[in-house]
Amino acid sequence: MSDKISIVININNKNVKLNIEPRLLLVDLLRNSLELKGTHIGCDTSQCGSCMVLMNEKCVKSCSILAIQCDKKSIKTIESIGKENNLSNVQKAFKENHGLQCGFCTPGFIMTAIECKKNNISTEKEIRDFLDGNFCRCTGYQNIVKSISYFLKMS
Amino acid sequence: MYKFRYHKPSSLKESISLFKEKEFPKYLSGGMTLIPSMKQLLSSPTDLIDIQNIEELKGIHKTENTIIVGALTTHNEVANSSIIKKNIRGLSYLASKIADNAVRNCGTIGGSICNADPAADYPAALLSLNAIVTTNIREISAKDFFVDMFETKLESYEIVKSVTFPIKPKSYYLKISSQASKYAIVGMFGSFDKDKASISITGAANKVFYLQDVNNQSPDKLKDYDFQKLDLSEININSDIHASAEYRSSIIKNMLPKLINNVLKDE
Ligand SMILES: Cc1cc2nc3c(=O)[nH]c(=O)nc-3n(C[C@H](O)[C@H](O)[C@H](O)COP(=O)(O)OP(=O)(O)OC[C@H]3O[C@@H](n4cnc5c(N)ncnc54)[C@H](O)[C@@H]3O)c2cc1C
Ligand code: FES
Ligand code: FES
Repeated sequence: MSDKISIVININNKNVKLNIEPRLLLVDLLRNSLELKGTHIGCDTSQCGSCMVLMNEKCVKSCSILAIQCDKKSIKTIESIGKENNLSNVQKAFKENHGLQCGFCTPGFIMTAIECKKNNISTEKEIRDFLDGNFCRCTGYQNIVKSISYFLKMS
Repeated sequence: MYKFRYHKPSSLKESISLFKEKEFPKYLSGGMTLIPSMKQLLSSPTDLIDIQNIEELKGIHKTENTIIVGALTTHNEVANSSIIKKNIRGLSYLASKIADNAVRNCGTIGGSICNADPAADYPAALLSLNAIVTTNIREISAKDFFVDMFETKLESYEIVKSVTFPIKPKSYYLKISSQASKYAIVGMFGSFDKDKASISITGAANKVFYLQDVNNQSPDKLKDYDFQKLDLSEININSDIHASAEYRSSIIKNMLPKLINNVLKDE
């Protein structure tokens, strides 16, 4: 019954051909099959947002979506957002505003910050509401909000 | 997660005949309820029939007196639709308060009402607005659609195609939610049909219900209504880890004046 199915997903701007079991979660595909370990798993209740990636440029929780549902779609993970020696603006904003402590939740918050910018969010209240789907166990919310406000003001 | 077969039909007809052929199939829409339940082994279908490509289930349309929302419309699409904002303000506001942004990007109105979670938000809007659910075989009014906790009037193979709402700019939604999931501890949707109130409540009982005592009253009467005297004894208000029945009843009584003010404010 475990017949594999062939699909193509555009992952971090490259078309990747895959032959997968339908029950494979997107997060397991990314972490275990493709070694993209920047996407994390922080809960089993679809609530923490550590696993957030962009699907067709919108945030989704990769722990709650089957890889097979992403056939012919684009997925972007934290690995495509910037490089260690060439950080993107959103990463610079988090670095300069001490927006992370242990960093476990950070890739997810970065994805949400990117969608914040696309949705023209601006006030602190709007940012806080928009962060509903991301938990930080180090409870660094104050500086996360500061980092995102800073990022939204960057050109 | 247990193994299953995956199908991605491109028409309604194909979906239904696939469903009838299989042993224990399930339709898959946004997956925001089904995938988490399959992960926790609470659901183990033999076949998943992914309906995401079926064009007939998509889109938001306006007719003279109604707005028709396709079953695959996501919560964020409802929240951001200018047609819905203008014509049923309470509905777009309700959708913007479901779960969090990532769940709203995937979860659909069809999936939400078929799942019939007693703490889900949409049922309150459907009941208050007297919406019609259209399936592949019939039309079902909201008051008949929600049967009990996680139970609807649908046959197992039946697919919801769309929900038709009457145009009601005067409408509003308020909820006190669980901080972690955002599911309603008490959610209330209010609208007026001509001069008569129509208020329904979700999250507080085994299924969404009308507030009989208040419904059919005129706006003037409701402005001076003593909600503290509201008799909720006929309703089996639930107690759980989120709130006791007493607390829920108190939320209902105290939130109603604010709801009514907001409904009336909206011209
Ligand atoms: C973290 C989290 C928080 C949430 N918070 C809230 C909240 O605050 N308020 C709220 O209301 N909801 C909440 N939800 C649930 C969310 O709204 C889901 O999107 C919704 O319940 C299911 O929609 P779906 O499209 O994802 O359906 P799916 O999970 O794909 O399907 C759900 C069920 O409906 C059936 N189904 C789906 N579409 C159809 C159709 N067209 N015809 C017939 N059957 C169909 C499926 O077979 C399945 O049994 C939350 C979910 C999560 C993960
Ligand atoms: S791991 Fe996906 S939401 Fe927590
Ligand atoms: S920085 Fe440690 S969990 Fe957020």
